[in-house]
Amino acid sequence: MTDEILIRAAEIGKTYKTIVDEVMVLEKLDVEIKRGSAVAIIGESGRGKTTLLNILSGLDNPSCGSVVFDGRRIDTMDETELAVFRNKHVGFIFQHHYLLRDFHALDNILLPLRIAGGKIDNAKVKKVWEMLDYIGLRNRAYHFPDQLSGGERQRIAIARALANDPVVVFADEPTGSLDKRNSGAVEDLLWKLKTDFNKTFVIATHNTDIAHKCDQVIELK
Amino acid sequence: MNIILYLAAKYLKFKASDRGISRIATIAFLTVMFSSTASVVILAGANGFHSNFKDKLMSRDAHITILGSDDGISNYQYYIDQISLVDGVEEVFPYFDIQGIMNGAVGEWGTFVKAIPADYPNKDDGFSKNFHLEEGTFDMSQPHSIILGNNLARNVGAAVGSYVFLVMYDNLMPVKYKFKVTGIFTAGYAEYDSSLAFISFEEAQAIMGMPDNAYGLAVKVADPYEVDKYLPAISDVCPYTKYTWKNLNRNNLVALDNEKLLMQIIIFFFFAVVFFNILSTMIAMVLDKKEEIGILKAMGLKPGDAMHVFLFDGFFIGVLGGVLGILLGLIITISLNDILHAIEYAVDFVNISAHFVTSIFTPVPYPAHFEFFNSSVYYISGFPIKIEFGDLVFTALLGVTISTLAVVFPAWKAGKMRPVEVLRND
Repeated sequence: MTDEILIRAAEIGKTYKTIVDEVMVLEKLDVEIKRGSAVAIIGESGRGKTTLLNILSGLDNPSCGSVVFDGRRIDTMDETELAVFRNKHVGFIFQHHYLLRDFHALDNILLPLRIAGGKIDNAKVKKVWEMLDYIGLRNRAYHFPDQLSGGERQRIAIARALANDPVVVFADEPTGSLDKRNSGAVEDLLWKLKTDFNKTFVIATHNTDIAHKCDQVIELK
Repeated sequence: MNIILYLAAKYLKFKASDRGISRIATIAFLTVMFSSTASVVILAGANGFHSNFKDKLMSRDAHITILGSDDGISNYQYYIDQISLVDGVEEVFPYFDIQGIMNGAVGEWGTFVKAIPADYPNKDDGFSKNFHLEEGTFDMSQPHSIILGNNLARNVGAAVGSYVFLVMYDNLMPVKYKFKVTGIFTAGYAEYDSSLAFISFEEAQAIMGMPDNAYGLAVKVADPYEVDKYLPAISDVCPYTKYTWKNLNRNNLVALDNEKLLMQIIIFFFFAVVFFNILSTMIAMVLDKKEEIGILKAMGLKPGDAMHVFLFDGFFIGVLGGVLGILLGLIITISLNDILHAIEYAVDFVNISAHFVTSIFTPVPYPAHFEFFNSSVYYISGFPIKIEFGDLVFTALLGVTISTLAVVFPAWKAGKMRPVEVLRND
């Protein structure tokens, strides 16, 4: 971890319009995330953990305030600019694995690289195989999601999040849908990645164990 | 591979490594394919009937008809020789058109008599192709010979060897000419069968009192469908008024064109059904892939690229369905008569089997041979077909355009989907 601020969100707010009124989920929130740190976003359900994660990652725009990512404002980008930004700089791990069911594990991991464009050369494929080795699923490379266990799917999803060598990995309840044993395995893998690859991790979680291991905790009340 | 093509191929699951072919894509593809097949078969059938009908029109009126003045054409042999030299002209012969009343053993009937050189029916292949001899002979070399359409013969009570009278009016006074029926033909065209008769040109010259003249000249050309291109050269050597078979049958040809247009409109509505079928299946596909589109966009797939994935799928379904549909249509069209004959034999087999079983209990007449087109009614040996390249292009363009247009809305929906909404909802 360095002292360099990677993400700076200033006075961000998010309001959702419903048929009858407006619901304010986030209000004048300031967030700073250092490069290489692990940050936990915690809070009760409905407090806006996922909303904050989405805004910081460029999946959603705030209703007010600004978000500067590595020196660039992302809150003013349009959908296409945000797509390019996410592909280059961000990796996602969700509570659900969201693996594409018609793609085997190897193809799922290769997806961010294909979206980035350019040829999928041997070097890129080799890197993905190394990633499969790293997560211990080399023998599952040509298995489709419905042929994998819940824990294996989530590990493939983690490998996919790292395929493009992102600056930050955003994880939204990454162990939320797993049983205790698989949850522990995935959690261990996340910390191993954090140590080995020195990535910035932003994790929205209810899991206090994860939060305690993070460098910084943002609690939403 | 480009991400758009990669995802489009994956969603259609046409790669060998994929597990099966997308059911949604298969439904859309089969819809386009069978509609294209139907379009090709229907249009080829319509063309066949139209072409057959046009051949009949040309068989009576020649390709170009040259009409003389009130006294006909006096030095007609000179013009025959001159016109015969024109490039593309295959045959020129003199003729008379005579209208009168045919009087036979049982009645009278309005008759259109065509007087042609006596040896013409045996000389011209087209004549025997369009006028099938039912009885007797086409020989008109004997004086006072006449050949009648079969319905005309039936209406006036004539048979081969019997005598009929052609009644014409000269200054309101009826003049009768006696003929011996030497042949009875069928043309497969009701108007001809019930009113047309042939006599020899020389006979007509005598009847009309114009022994050195011809009423007109009939010209046959190499390409009758492009008959107008021969007119300038013929006009250079022959000053008389000319009519092409197209001029003389304008109403019939306009009706045929309108019928073809109607067919194309019906086929267009066919494809309108295809449009809504593909629209609904592709909307289902986009909804089915909603979650995947969301995660792909989260990983950086641009909205435009997401849209193009589905547009390409629609285009691909149209091209593949159209091409295979057209090929299947061509195979069916080419073997249509074999297919119809096979069905005829199958129906005969069922009828004969039923007859065999029924006749054990009660005597029943032996079933007649089943025919889709009874040759004694339609005068055709098979279902006439004619494949036109323009119709294949029409079908292919319609298939591709409709299936591409049908995915515009689903593709736009896919492009507009925001990952945060899709992933949040799930």
